[in-house]
Amino acid sequence: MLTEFSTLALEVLTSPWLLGLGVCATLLGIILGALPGISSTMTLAVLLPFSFSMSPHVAMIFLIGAFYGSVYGGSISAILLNIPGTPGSMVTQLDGYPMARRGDAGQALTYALMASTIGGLFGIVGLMLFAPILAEAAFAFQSPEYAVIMVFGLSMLAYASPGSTYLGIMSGILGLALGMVGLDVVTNLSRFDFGIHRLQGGINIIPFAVGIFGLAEVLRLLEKPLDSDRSASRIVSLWPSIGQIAARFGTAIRSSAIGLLVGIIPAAGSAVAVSISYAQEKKLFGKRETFGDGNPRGIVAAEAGNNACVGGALIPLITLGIPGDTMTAVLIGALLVHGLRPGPDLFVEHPDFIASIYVALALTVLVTFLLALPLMRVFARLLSVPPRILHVGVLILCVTGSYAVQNALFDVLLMIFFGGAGYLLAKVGVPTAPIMFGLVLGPVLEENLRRTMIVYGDWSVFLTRPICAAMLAVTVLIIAFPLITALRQRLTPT
Amino acid sequence: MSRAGATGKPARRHKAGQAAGGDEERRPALAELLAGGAFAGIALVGMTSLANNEYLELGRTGSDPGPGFVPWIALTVLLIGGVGHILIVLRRALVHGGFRAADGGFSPARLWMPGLMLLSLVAYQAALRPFGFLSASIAFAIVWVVILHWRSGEGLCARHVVQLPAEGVALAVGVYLIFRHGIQVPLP
Repeated sequence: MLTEFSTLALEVLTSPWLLGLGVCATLLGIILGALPGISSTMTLAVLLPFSFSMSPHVAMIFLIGAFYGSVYGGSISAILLNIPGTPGSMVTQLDGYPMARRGDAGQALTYALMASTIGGLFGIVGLMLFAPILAEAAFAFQSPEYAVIMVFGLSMLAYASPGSTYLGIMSGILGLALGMVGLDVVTNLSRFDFGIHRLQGGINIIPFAVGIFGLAEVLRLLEKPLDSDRSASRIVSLWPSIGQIAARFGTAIRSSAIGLLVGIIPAAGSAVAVSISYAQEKKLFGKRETFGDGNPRGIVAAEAGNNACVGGALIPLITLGIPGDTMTAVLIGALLVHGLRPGPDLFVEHPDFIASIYVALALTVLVTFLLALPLMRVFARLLSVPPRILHVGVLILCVTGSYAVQNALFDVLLMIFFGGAGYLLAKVGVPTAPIMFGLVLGPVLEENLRRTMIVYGDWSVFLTRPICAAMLAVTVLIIAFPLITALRQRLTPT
Repeated sequence: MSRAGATGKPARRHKAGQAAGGDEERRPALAELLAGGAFAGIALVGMTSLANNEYLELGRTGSDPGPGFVPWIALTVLLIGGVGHILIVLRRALVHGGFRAADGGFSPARLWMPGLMLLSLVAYQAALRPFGFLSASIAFAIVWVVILHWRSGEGLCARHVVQLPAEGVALAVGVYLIFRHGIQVPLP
């Protein structure tokens, strides 16, 4: 793997086209991530169609560049406008905005950038260390283990999604049913096509993701009058002293480790990573320092955790095919479009592709660090783009991107349908991200479940194989946990 | 000791007020019922589709549980879960004296603009083939740039008559150039 990594790294660094693409993708990601209302998932979903004409390696450089860039970009609007660009930067604003208010916006952005870089590097190292180990272990898995892992992943993803756990699990099952639309791979029988021939090919992940994460978000923003008055704080000085930076180095390391570990857990996601990182630092320094009023340590903790999480979330994606969060669920869609199925086989059949993921992440961390400092004032100015341009631009991209998947207008209609449905479901309190997870994992679950039954012919196989039994037990606990908690609360005398 | 404390009456009233407020908070929103209804409704539609195909009935072909197996399980759980959610919400409403007055984030009055957007998107999609991508996108973009400008509360002045359509045209042409000539997508 190291050979592939160094060969590809050399290729990228000596190719002006690849290097330029990496730089453009990262810049695009930073800009879109910084714009309020455009989440990292939306950024990825909208930019995904641009990668269709690229080879898988080049597509990864483009998509991971945009992914990581948008994660960092989220901190810019959090610090300058007090509006988190992405869910992962919601904690950054707690200390970032007060710093900006007292005239230290530039320093706050520099702290965020440095912490992001350390977190990003931690993520790369963690990805390169843990992914091969997990993939090696996954080689021992057969269809029963895969079936159970999919159930486990789906339960975790539904459980950890924001909002009601019960509705999250129901959403995951809805996604699972949506994954069954189209021709069955074994018998070639069509399911849920309602007489529409186009549905026999199944629901394409890309129009679905663009609708549910792109269009639904714009629809939500349209409910209220648009706020076009965004006066960002001015950036005066950028550099804190070396002593100030060194004093927060430990925080960056601790938070990066937390972000990486949380990222590996399917669905835990960046919001959980930053919350734990921040809480940990508050616990350690809460007696000596105050948090929430412009403490650089708070920014460092949040940003290091947020960016380390990116590398962590890629681990279950490439080793088991389980998305770590909504962003990696969209990335799975990209892999499938390019004919690649995530899982341990990727390490044997396409080691060069795995290397391209490592190189893409390393490149984007480097590019972000080198470009963000000189361009910080430009990013700040971009925050004043009128929302009308932003929203209409996103909408045309949603339509064009959905069409571009298969050059089919039907996909545009699907995107509009799922955008509207996702918006309405979110309005009645149903978390929509688990639907995407179900759609991605459902077909894999069904295939492995039926293969298990065909090969073993008996349900007891799920209880007699130790990994299956252990994972099933954990899954049952995950599903039962909210019920047990509710029961305990009811039984506890007030 | 204060008078209120001596008589106990105002204190009781305060407590009762708190309980009423607490109950109001505990009351479910009507939208929660819709969530359960949506799941149950989707499950019923899916089940109808499965039931209309005799090959998708439950039953094994050898040891293969068949193409209807996972869909039937998923829809059954969805139906039971949806109905269960409705019952839970109704029970909460019964215990806490009805539904919450303010319905959280769900308000039908706020849906008109998103609804208009969805309708215009369907029209935009339908116009793509007969009118071509560029013309349809320019029309869609100009209309929505103007609507969103109005929605932002900024007034209209003479320069906007040129600026807003120009923004719409620039957006549509920009996307067209990137997709048609940049990544070679054969747009309609």
